[in-house]
Amino acid sequence: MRNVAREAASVLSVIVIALAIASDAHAAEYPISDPYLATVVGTPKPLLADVPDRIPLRTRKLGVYAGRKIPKALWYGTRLEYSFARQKGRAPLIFTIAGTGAFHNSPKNVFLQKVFFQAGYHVVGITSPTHPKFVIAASATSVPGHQRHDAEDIYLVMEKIMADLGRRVDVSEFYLTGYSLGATNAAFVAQLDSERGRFNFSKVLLINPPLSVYNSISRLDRMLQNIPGGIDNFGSFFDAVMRQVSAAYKKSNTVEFSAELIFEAFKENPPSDEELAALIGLAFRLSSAGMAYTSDVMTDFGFIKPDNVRLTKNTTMRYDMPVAMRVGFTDYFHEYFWPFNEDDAGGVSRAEFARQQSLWAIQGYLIGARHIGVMHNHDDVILEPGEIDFFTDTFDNRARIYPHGGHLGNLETRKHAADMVEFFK
Amino acid sequence: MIKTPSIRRLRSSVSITACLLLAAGCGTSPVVKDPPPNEAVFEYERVVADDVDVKANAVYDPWEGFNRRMYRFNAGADRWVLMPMVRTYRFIFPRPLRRGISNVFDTIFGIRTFANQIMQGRPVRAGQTVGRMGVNLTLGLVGLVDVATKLGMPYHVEDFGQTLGVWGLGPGPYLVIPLLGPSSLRDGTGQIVDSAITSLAFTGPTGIDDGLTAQLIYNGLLIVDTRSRIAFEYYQTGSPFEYELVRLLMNTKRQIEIEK
Repeated sequence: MRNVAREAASVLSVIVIALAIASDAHAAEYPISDPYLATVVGTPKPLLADVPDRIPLRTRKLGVYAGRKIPKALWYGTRLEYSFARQKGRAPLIFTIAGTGAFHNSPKNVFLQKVFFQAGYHVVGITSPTHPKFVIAASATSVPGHQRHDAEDIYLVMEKIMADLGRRVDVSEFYLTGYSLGATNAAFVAQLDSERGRFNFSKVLLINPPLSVYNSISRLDRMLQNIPGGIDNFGSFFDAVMRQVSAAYKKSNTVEFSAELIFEAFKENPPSDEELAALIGLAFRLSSAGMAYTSDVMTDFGFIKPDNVRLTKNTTMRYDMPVAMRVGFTDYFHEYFWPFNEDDAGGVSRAEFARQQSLWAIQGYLIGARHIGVMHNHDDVILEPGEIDFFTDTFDNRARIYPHGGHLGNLETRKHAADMVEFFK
Repeated sequence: MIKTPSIRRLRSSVSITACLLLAAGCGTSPVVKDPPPNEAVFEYERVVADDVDVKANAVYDPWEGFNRRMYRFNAGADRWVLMPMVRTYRFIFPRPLRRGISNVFDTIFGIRTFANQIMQGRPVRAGQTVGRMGVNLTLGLVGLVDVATKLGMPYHVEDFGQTLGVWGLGPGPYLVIPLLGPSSLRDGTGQIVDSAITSLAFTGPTGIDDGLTAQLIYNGLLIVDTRSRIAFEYYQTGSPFEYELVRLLMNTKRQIEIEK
């Protein structure tokens, strides 16, 4: 029975997508109008941008803080990786900052690198400050989410990368971009650079940033409430998801426990909107669980792991992982992030502190920063209703808002890629 | 997950043996400084509902201490030995040739697949496998070119672990095998049988001489080819739960392969 249902669902979804593409065949616009489906399915093959199969990307490791004390259990994160590909001769260099929980070589970040390498730039991929390895090796506080602090951390990493690359690259000017949370990071890094002036970014492009990080993480947490049967069925839902992920894994020969791998798994069998939302929530939960727990182990705050408990390299996660998977971004904010930062927050309220982690906090700067542009989707599922207006109000003609695509579903379309390249010209 | 009674009885004695073999011990508990332990903000009892049996949801892993050590050992071996070999291999052999070598191995492992399909009682699929090998060995220039796929011939991969699974045997304890990576007691045993089948086919009916040099070349190429086709990178997730996630994925992957 279940197999029949699954078959039917997959046939149906193929028909839906095919119809959607057919009806819009000449518009060259992104065809999937359901934002949840778009977020999960991504870009249909016929619309994919023409980027090279591979570019000469190299991975290098940075020691960011010499002599930093790192708990034994996190031994694998002492140095932070980044990736780069260089042009022969003098060219602009673009940094691409990965999204929530993503590594420098996440599929979406590599896509950006391919697009910009093809456009003739040196490209450098930066790991998200929310990736556990960044938390371990490069975060000054090891408690990510504070936009100003994260920007300072990224800035330091960028400076270290330039020192590491040395004469390998001949840079004419610097560009900056990022997707999702990486775009919000990019905005704060740009603002920081306007004070420090090390890079003097000629152009900065924000791709689908959350406006208020707090609002977006609340939405993502709520999405998990769509699990059939509620949060108590988390286990069986998770099992069902992992089975599909595993099937995709088998096909793709890759293992990356990111949003992308899960999305890959459901390209073929898109479920209902509620299930899709639960999935998007789950993908982010996998990221937040790893991030929050890593941070907790780094600081001994006592968030999930009691503060007088020391993990060894062999300590089982049998009990802590289920907890981490049940604790959301908002729990992290209220029970860890805010208490951790409260004393240094200058007496502001919790709500004001949350607002400081949003683009509202630097809106004045963004209005005047003519070199910063944004690309976003009208139906992005990480935005609260109405939030999209912020981008048109703030960036004016430097904002390009697409009608459909959900969260980054249209990123890899030809049109989107061409617009990205066009922006930097 | 099926656990046969015999496996159930086996498990405790094997687990004790495994621990004895490793003088380092198999402890997986954290160290508590200044006991009693303090309360974390999100205590297990507070967050996980009483009727949720976390252990029942997880993959059966009684040798976790050993496995975690082996996972780390393999990560080291991968970084310092296997991946440098793969990089050298990729540097020396151009892409089309590497593709050809992969195809040859796929063809050779048709023997293993065929034997297991017979044991699973799937003659039609076994026939498809033979047909595929025949086409690739002839039209495909001794397996270098995968003509069969271009002709749309179905492709199956079966191993003895899957055969045992088809026969109704559960995976048994999770097992991280030195150098080979995540597996289970059933599938690890299966690998031994599979390599016996393959080498039997070489030394037996085909009569191909397997002198030491030939064996070294064969196994060396097999190792780099296998590794270079897997995109997995240890600790790339950075997640403190990577061991658990890989375990879950491998277990699920094998279930799916057996059901296929």
